[in-house]
Amino acid sequence: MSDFLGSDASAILQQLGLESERVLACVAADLGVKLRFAAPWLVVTDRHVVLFSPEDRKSCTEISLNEIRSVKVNRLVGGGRLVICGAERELGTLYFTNSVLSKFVEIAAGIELLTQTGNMDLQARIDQLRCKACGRLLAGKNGICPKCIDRLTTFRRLFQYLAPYRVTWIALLAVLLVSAAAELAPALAIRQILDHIVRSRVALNVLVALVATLLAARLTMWLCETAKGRLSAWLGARITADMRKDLFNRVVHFPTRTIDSWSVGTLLSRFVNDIARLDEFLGSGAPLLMMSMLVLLGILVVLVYLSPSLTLAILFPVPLIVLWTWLIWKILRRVQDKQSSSVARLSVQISESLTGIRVIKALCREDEEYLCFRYHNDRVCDVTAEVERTSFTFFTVIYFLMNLGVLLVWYTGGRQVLGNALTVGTLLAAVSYLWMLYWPLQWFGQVSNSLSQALTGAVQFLELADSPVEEQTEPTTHAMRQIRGSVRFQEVTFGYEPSEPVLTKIDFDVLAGEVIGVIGRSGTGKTTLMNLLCRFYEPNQGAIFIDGVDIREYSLNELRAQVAIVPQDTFLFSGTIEENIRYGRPGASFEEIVAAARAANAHNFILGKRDGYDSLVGSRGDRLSGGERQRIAIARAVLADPQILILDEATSSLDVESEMAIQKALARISHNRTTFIIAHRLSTIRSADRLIVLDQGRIVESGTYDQLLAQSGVLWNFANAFSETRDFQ
Amino acid sequence: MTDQPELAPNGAGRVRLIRQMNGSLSLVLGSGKSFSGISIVRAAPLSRPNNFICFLDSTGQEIYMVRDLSHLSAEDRVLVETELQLRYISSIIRRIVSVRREAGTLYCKAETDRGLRELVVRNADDSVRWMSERRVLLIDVDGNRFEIPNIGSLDSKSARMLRQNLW
Repeated sequence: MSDFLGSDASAILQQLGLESERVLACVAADLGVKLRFAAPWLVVTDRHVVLFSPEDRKSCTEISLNEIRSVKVNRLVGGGRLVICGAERELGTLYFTNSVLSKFVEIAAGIELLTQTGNMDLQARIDQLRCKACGRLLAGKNGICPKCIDRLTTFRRLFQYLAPYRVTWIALLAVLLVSAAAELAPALAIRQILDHIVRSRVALNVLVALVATLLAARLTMWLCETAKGRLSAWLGARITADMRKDLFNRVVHFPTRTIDSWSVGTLLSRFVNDIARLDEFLGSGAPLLMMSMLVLLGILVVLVYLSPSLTLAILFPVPLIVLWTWLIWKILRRVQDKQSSSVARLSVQISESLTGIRVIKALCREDEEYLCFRYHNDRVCDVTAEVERTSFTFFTVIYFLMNLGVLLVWYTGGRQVLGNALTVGTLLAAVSYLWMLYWPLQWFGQVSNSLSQALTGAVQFLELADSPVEEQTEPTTHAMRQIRGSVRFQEVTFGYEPSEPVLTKIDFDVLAGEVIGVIGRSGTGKTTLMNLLCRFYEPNQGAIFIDGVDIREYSLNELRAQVAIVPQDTFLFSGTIEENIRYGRPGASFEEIVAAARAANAHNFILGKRDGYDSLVGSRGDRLSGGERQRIAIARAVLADPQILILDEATSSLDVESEMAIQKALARISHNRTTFIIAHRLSTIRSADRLIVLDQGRIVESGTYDQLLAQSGVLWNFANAFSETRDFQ
Repeated sequence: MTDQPELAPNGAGRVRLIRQMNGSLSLVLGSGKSFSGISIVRAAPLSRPNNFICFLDSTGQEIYMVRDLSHLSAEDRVLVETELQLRYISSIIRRIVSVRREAGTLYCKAETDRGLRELVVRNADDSVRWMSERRVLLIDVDGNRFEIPNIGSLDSKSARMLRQNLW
């Protein structure tokens, strides 16, 4: 609760003469008078709610707690409004943007609780909107500040992944050192040849020795190059494979809510793009960077040894080159980004047109699609030209600057040779070092880009890898408790967004072995109700009991092994029919699989397939019809032999005949287990022991089919509508 | 099922809006039927903000639709516009103070009609919505909305900063 306490609260209260009251909460909104951005405060004390705006001291609203009847948060587009209502009129309102909406949803519930019970119990979880260190706005609540990420910690975490391959990376370092030395050797050898052999004509064997040195240097470089390539590629691939492995293991154990909050696309991109960036950097960027550094260092040392004055001449254009490189890479990176996003858009356009080709043809929209394609295509063309133009400018200027350096060296060096202060060999060696020095410089921009991209990739990887997983996913040590199957929902309220409850005060009891039909219009929370029972989500208020024990006290394995759900959108994995059914219980024998398929009325259609149980279902089961998929999903759930079985509109895609068959099977399946059947068709739930009718997140009726029909309530309406559609069929 | 909602043709004054004591709005149809606690929404808030305004009853069912705000009486129009302004909290960007792009995300500081504000926008199709060649809607990571009605009418520095970073 203390998180809700702002530091300015006491000052505000003193101005109002309320300093003797105990402050329970103090929060700032972000829209003030005339909905301009401002920071009006809402202060809750043990006797009052005060709305106070620092910019306009007159418009202070003081509301006594016992006047308040209700506190609501209305969701607006782009924000929200907190309304405090009295018996007859609104006592106060406060506007805010989406950034602080969730905070006010909590405070509204808190104030209502305070007026009813005299206590204010806030589950204080304040979202971090700004970076704690630099105050900069974050991309997403509680996100990472790209500026203040602890680079050291990030690298340390990455190095943990290097640790198991110590031998390999030490070898890689050694190879890099040798290779850097070998790069320096040829120029020195040529210097010797020029100075001693060409000028003073010494013995042939010295020449042979020098040429041999050259050959040896070239050979070493070639060997090192090969070794470097192999080692770094292997290391990069190995490390990123480890990271992907860790990440996947983490993600599958995330709570459903966490997975909801990440789109599949984003998760996929973490696996593919972010880790690929790291791979690219570790595999080629990092060795290249280290190599260039070593070579540069070596060249500088050798140059200073050869001639300090020439070194100065060589270094003269370096600041210019570095500055220009830095400048142009900023632009180049931007246009390259533009290019890749325009290419992505083009490919989206192509894939959408091809996927929707039937619709396009049916509505004669080929020409429009062509025009649309042409637009995106032209855009790719323009942007690509921009990239080429930019890089062309870049390289011509770089060449010019480098040649400037060469001219300078020829001039200073040439004068020294004329004055006999320098040998021709040394001059030539200096010139060849000059090129070796300049070349890597132009890539530094790219390497630093690849470094920062790798760093972002690493941070995004770590963000996901460090998210908390579901509790109790590890196998429990004690023996699994056998569930009998009685279920109790106690005052359960739940919303995916706390301000928009999907279920309100759900209260019901189910005996073990009962068959319960759940009906209601679509969107009234039937599926949500069952998701709560599987503990895919936690209720916001209230509790759910199985056999009198709160479901939070079961381990997830215990619970989910005994509660099976056949979801609305049946999902099959690519593989055979047998594999898909076996997924329900990996150790099952073939006889058991066949029995489950029989129970789900799937056996006969499976036998009709050419490959029977060995038939492939296609990706996501697309080689089967909707009804066939549903029956396999039912068989899968039946095989798991749960004590509580949930069929979420699991027979909706079946034709009437198959459904009749399933009806018969259901009697067998539901024997001795608690079964929840969510259905649109009344025929499906007619035989249920009891029905629960949901409307707008509340239970509006419950009882047997005949009882409810006699009440002529919601179910009766439903049944009438149903008989009309049946006549139609 | 409610009856087919009326779509007002040109006849102004066929409906009447009343602001109740408790702050809520009531709607009285030409037929004399009245609804309390109504809400007013735009059918297409982005592309047609001033047309196709719908009146919903307290359960969210449509009661009435106005094709054009000018079809309403002057007083009603003021009420509707006030209500819409309160419901659609979207700011209009007047000047860009700074933009920075990092890893596909824009960090932007802008002067809006509501005052100075910092916003973070992911550079993706659903958060940078080009309504036309010149009009763009930015939806920040929290879901707040910022509109630039005409990128050409911004000062040249702001326009350049945006064009360089948005596409």
